[in-house]
Amino acid sequence: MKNENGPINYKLWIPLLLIFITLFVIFFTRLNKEGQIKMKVKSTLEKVVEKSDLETVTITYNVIAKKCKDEENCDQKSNNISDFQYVVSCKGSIVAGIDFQKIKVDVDEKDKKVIVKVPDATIIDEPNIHSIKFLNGNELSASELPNARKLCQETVKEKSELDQKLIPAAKEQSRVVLEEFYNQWIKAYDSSYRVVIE
Amino acid sequence: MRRFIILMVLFLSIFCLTGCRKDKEKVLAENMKKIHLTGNLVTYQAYYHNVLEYDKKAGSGITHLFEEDRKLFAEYTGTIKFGINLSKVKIKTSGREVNVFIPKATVIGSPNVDKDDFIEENFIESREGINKNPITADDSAAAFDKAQAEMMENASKDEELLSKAQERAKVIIEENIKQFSGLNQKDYSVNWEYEQ
Repeated sequence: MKNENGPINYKLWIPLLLIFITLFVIFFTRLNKEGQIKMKVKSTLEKVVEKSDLETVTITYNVIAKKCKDEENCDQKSNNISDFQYVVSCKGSIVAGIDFQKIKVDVDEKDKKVIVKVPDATIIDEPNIHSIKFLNGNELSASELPNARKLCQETVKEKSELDQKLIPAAKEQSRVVLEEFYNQWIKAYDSSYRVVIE
Repeated sequence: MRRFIILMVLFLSIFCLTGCRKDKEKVLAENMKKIHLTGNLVTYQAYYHNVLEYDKKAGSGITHLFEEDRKLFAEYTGTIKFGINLSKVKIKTSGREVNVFIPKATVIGSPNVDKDDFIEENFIESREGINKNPITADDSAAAFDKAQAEMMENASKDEELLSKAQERAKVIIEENIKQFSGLNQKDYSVNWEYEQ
């Protein structure tokens, strides 16, 4: 086989072609591997979230609620029980949730990392109040109980919304499970990788 | 001749199927041995916001004259981990069945109560005598210790969370079995036994 400039140099072209094919195969295998891991992580994520009931977390939220003697002239920050009409210890719970549809999965080929980014948790629904205990020593009349329960409900809501540790803790709860799950999972799938939950 | 061929095909098919079946059982048994289960598996981390009641006794001696016992209340927060001891998990195969025993979940480590929640300003106090019986650093430390112990006790009795932690451990181990089995899920079954 000849061209206008003379015979084709097979000794040069064949090795070059082989190198090109090898590089092409390596590139696409790597690309494919990254895509495969990403896809596999996402598909197992759905299963683990569903089976582990990870989407919501019920948090025990017990607080102290204070009923002012005079709403117009009341210092809620006072720590003396006798400054209030009554003080109650409320046993309650709140539900926080994470939208797992918003989870992002990235693969860092260089550092051999699978990064799972978990979105922030949010408080779902109104708080539940399970029981009330008056701390002043004397029990109040039965007619005051609904008001005390309402006060508990408002206090739990208010305090949980201001609680700086609550949302990170709810998120951490999911992180712990996902980390344990994927650490076990990646060992079997491809032990050269590690999973980081952010 | 025709009959002979049919018989041969049948014989070979049965031979092959038995062989495949035995191979799968062997593969399953060998792969299950590869699952290394050591250490603790944390499957739940609970956050608590609690109320502590603390009795502060009146002191003795001249400086404590007219002091009264006081009841103190404080809100505190903390986290606690639940999980299982992986070394207690038993995985055995019998033919193409995998039998798994999952131990009961327990509290892992100590509760992590926030010490800063027990500063003097955070205590809600009942009443004061003529001599105040003030809150000291020792009271804060004792209240903190009580909160840690209370949280540990409550968590150890929290059957709902313990059962959830055990169930989550099952999900993780199930995925492990799936990954290591080397077989299609249709080719084997898993039986679960939970420690009550």
